Amino acid sequence: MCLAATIILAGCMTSRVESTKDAATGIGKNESIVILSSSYHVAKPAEDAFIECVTDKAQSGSRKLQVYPADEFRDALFPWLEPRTAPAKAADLPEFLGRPGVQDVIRARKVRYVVWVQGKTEESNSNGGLACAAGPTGGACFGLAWWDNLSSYEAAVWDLESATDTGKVTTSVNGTSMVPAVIVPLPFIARTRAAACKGMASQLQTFIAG
Amino acid sequence: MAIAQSRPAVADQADPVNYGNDKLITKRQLSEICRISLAAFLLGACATSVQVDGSFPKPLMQPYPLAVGVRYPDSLVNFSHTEKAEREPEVAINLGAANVRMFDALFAGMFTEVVRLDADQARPAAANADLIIEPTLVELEIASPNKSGTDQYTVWLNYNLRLYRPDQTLLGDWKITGYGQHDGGSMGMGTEDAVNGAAMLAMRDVAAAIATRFSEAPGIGALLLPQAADPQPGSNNDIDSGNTENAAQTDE
Repeated sequence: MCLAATIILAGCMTSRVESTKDAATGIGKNESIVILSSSYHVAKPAEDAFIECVTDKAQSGSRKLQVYPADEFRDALFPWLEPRTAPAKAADLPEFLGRPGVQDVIRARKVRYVVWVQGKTEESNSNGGLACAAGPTGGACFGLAWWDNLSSYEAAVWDLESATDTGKVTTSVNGTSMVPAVIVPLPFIARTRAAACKGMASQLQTFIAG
Repeated sequence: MAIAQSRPAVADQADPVNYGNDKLITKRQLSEICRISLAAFLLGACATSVQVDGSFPKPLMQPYPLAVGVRYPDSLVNFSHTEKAEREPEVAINLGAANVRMFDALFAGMFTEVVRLDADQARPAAANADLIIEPTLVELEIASPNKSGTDQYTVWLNYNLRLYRPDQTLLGDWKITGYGQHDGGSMGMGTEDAVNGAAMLAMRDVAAAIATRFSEAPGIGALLLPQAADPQPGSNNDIDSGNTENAAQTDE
């Protein structure tokens, strides 16, 4: 019953997670990855909350990865990972890695992969409506409102050791949320972003482990 | 009877309330005061005041072999700005202390020697410097999610760096703009953090532009020429050998 309630409360969702590998991957016990949002000069950067979620999830479970804090990494390499200066494509990696001190900073922190995440969660197709009224004896709402959410994200995985683009992981979750109200509104929210985060983190663990 | 006759005089003010020894406020006036106070409170509750808070890293680069005198004018050190867009709550932002922190960290990593000059300090103290820099923040704009049509707050900054020779003659004005965007809070909550985050990112953007494009600033190419050094291999630091006397250059 609890399971049924959870499914209903979570709304209806369909998800798709895919990965494309262009080069062999693998990671040592002491090596880590760093997860950054893309530069807005290149693509729509993923929301901070999504980056934080993927970072948390990637560090948990049986295949957990070590994730170096993004802010500390950007600070240590300032100004070379700012939106206007960050490498836009893997072909720019040799130039980035050739800047004075950059290789030393990366080696000292044992960061093997940098993961660039872009994408967003959008709301669409809002339908229906709710009407609420309040009086001296109380209030009530009646009606039905529903809408769709689409969370679509892509993560490019760059190997800093070989200065190559090893491939990408994409996740897309579609869901419908609804709020029926008969006196009391009952929200059934499709948490598409949370599902996309979970799917991407899990796929990144598999992708990077090789 | 005297009381009954006197009531009409205050009838429209109804039931006076005595506050203090010599002040008489009617309920209507009290109600008006309460209404105005409530409106002021609600407006005040919506208004946001942001003291930009955060630290700036030193740039990872080989320093330019220059001794630089840095002069922060009062307008930079005390910079504040209030943004009031139509049908938007007021946002007041103070960047003064953050300006100083940013330029201190930036210049400490960019040059082999940095000397801070008093705002009104004249020529003699700068005699040992190769260059004097006087930054000013010319313009600041804030856009809320409603205004920008996104789910983010954005901050746009426009700085001018006045570059002087040690004898105080002007080498040129170097205009630098910076842009930062930060996820906004929902339902008006978290505005302070969002504006602070966007301002910090815009300032980092400015610092990154200054650090990576310094050799392109007016007059700097010629100044660096005797050193025959390009401190940032791999970057596009073309030597500016043209006539840049009193030039103004904008770096977007």
